[in-house]
Amino acid sequence: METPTVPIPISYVSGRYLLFSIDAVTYLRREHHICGVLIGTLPQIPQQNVFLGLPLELMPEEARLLVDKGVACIVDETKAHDGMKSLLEEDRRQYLRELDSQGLEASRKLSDRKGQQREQVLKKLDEKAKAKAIKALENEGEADTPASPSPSASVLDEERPSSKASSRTPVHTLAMGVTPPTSYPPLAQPTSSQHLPPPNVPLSYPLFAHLSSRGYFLSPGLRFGCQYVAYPGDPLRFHAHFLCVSAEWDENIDLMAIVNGGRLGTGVKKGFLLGGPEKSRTEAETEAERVESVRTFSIEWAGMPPCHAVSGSNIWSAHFKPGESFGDETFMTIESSSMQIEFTLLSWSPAANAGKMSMSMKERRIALSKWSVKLWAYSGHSRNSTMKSGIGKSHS
Amino acid sequence: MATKRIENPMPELSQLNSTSASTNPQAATTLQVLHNLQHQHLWTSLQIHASPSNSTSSVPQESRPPLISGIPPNRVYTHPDEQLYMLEQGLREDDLRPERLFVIPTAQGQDWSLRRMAAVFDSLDEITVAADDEADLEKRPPQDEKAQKLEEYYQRRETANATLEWGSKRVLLGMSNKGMGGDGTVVYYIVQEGEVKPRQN
Repeated sequence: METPTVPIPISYVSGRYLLFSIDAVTYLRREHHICGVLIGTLPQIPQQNVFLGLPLELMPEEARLLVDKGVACIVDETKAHDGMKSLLEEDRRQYLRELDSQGLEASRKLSDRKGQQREQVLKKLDEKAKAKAIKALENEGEADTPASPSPSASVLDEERPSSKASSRTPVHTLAMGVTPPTSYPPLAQPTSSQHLPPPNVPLSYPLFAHLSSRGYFLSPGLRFGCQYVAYPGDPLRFHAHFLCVSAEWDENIDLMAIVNGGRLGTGVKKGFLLGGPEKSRTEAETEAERVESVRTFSIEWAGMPPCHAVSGSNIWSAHFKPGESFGDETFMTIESSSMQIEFTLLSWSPAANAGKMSMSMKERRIALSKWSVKLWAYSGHSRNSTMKSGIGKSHS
Repeated sequence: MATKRIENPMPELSQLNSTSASTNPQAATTLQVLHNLQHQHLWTSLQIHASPSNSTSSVPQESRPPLISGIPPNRVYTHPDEQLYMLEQGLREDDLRPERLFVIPTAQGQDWSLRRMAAVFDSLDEITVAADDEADLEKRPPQDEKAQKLEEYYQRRETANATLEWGSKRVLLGMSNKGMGGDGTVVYYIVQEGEVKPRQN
């Protein structure tokens, strides 16, 4: 774990902010909670997209945050590599020699490790053989008590030198090819006059910087339909806590967006975080000022189930209010403590219309949360006759 | 738990339709949410609080929604760390005294912004709740050991509230369905200020 020299140069290549040094990538992840996205794939298997490697692409927000912290600087890669042409021949040679020696070092280490592994395996085999011999000896000993352990021991000792000799394999010293990911050893670190200005960032940058300052790891939110996904620790160890969406202070927020975010968040065991800076870009002089003024709100689905799916008693205790009459039809209103229903009573004589009742009824369905209650009522011709009513429950 | 249902201090919907609805659409939404709380969720001692007029908030008075407050029959929100503490102490949610919760009544399609949300949270401290039957609720028979544990819990909660360990100020955002026939659905979302970790993760 090497700590790279600060400021770390972030390569700006055709609109992307890239890091090519593994030391820089691990350092930024460890110390500054910047994860980025690995986008490098193998030339041989360009389709594979599960295990990606260097380079690491940073969001403009991440790059900006690092620049604002003074940890990194933005370097235009094409311009920086103009220096390659003016490199002296002698410097070039020395650099190549250095690469060669690095390759040799690498191959030496590799063969060393191979040798160690080999030795370990042989040692294990040795011990196994020894254990076997001792066991055999003990078995013999049961039959013949004054058995001497010396002959078997000598056998083992004889085996020893041969195994030692076999572990000494000739070290294969062919220099490995080394491809350095960065070009900063041959080239000088770019000076501050060569640095590009801090990246342009979207309006959501203050929320990003605010959450980052609270120790959250942020990653792009496309996966969860939000702007950023906030992890309370390294994403490899923790599940995300929030789906974050930023808004300007006076930006109109559709309430449906809150429902969408809240429901989705609850569905994936996360909170929906809505936030933004109190100051607009015209009000604040710097982004830092906007970051200072950020306020956030965590939203979760309340998940309040209805306390009761309309109990019958509420309807039975309803009182009926007579409404207006139009010819045969009387509009009536039932008011109960849990609902108000307007429905139509049709004049209906049981004797004359036996069997036709269902035809002359009007139904009103009232949906109450998950339950829909069907309420129908009918009465006889006279208002004084007994009123019958029924309640049907159906799960919708 | 006190199950006494208070007399309905609010106008019935039918009266609302003829009177206040024509003057202020916000009043209709407020009442719809209030009725939903009262009848579907059986909340008690419900009150409507007009947004404080002396507020220094930058949101104009007329576009600030009134707030509803009431006491839910069951606890609506428990912070995960609080839940852990209660579990360790052997306390159940039913043991705690009922708490008043604020609700922002809104309707689908209504204008909403961070400024308004912040204004609601800022106004929470200024709202005074008429102390009605909450005093009775506190007079519960002490049960020796449990009462002592409860006392500890309340003390712990006070410190937690100061450090925001167990979440911060919270309100319910009630959203009623308007348009598309308006089937009377009201959905509720818990809104807390700041980053409060989710209940299940």
